[in-house]
Amino acid sequence: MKSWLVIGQYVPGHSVLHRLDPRTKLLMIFTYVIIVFFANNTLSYGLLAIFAIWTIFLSKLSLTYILKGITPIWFFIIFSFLIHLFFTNDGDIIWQLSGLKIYSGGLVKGLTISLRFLLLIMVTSLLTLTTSPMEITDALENLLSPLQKWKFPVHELALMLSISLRFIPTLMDELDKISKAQASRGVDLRTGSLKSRMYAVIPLLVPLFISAFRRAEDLAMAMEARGYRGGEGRTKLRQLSYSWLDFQAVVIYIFIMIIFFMLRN
Amino acid sequence: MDIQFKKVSYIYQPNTPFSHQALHEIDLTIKSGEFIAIVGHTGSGKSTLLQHLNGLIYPATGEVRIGEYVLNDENRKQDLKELRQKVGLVFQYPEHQLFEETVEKDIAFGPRNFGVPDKLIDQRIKQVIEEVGLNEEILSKSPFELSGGQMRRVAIAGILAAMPEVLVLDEPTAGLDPYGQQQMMALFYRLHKERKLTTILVTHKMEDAFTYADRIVVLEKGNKILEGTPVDIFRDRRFLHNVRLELPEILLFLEKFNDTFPFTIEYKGQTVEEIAVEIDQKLKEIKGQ
Repeated sequence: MKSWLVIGQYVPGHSVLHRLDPRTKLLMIFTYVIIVFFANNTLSYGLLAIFAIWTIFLSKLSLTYILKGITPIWFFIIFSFLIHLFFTNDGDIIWQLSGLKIYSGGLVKGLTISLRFLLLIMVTSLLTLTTSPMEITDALENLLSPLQKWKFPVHELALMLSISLRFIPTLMDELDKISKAQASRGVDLRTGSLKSRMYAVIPLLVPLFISAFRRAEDLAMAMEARGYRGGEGRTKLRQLSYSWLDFQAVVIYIFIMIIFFMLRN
Repeated sequence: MDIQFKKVSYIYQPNTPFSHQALHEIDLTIKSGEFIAIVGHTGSGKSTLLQHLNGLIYPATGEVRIGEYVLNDENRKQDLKELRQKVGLVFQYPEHQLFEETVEKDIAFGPRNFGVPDKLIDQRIKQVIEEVGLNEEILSKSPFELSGGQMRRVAIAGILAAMPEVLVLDEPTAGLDPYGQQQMMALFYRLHKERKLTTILVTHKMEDAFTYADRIVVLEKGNKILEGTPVDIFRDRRFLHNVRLELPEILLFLEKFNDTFPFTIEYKGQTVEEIAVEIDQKLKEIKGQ
């Protein structure tokens, strides 16, 4: 339905990023997300942006595809930019019109916040674009497994995650079918008052929930029929293993991070 | 309402790595009052084709004319309410679209959206519930406490209640037992005759196509590869083997019969009974000699 939406989508491929161990990717992106908040000048932001664009280049996906794919996020980015632009009273006035004043501080803050946001979204969607949901959950389970010592249900958590990721596209398809069926019965989701459009969602949501419950029941039954009993003693078809490529990636990544902390002031 | 497809192509998810062309320059004309069957395998583009009939999707290139409506890439923003009222679309598993508290409300949903006055809706509900072969007692029940077959009938009643002139059916018998399938097809055929509908049946069952359709269109990988009356299609049957579509049982029988015996029986669109009578006559002729 939303053909341009890339969030959460996986594009199969054989690029360097695809071949990295999912654990490496997960850890790198996790630290990247934290580090974005440490950037405090043009150079450090520049480095992070270059890193993000470079990784997109390595993934062999087109930049425009990703930028277009995060269309719904653009709304938030522009919104937060405007909020900061208009409501920060800091620095010099750079523009003013009958009581509406824009300060240089606001402009800077707006720009940095939206850049942060953009980088975060780009890099995290790069993770899901180059890593299949199964790999992500495997990596997560593996990385969290030390917590099992404290009776933390790592396997169950990973299973829940993989099931929900698995069903996102299915439910999207389902929603598409239902909304088409209701549209042909005269439901109009695009015009009309806000109230009438809210009512128009009911004929979509009720069938969607019913089908989600039916699917959940079927899945539970199928798992039980195949003797599923949780994570204990369970082996895996695909074993994760670090390779030379991962080592290289980590070294480069650490090197970039060192430069990053030198560039900060 | 005449329907005309002119060089219609459709692409799913254009400009992405998942881009996939589902239809390749389809030309197709459907006359008012015709019963057309569109056959093909999963992924042949049948369902994509029929979604054009309601303006749910627009052709990437080419155009679709339905009565006075013209659907092409340029006029995507038009009011389609009237079109959707006139073309009733029965999706696969239509019972999955039920959502109201009672059967009555669910059937009324479509007509109400199309602005039919309440009084008329009540009349229509009584009419359609009978047409689909259900009892009026069912009206006050919740659609979710019905059996699968009943649910489907209710969903179909909901579409008929909008009084469409064209009825589009996407594998309407999927998931029903053989007896239910037969009944369902008989129901559509009766409606086709009684209401003088234009009916477009999408199916992968050659049996239904040969039994009910005036004309059959065969799709394969988004291309129209064969079009004609059942008799024409039977003549081109070698072609059907190439695309792995099975002839109906009766025609397979006829094929074998003609190979085995020294006399032939021409296929002219007869039913099983008519063919049996013909064979009987031929045998008597031979005995007479």
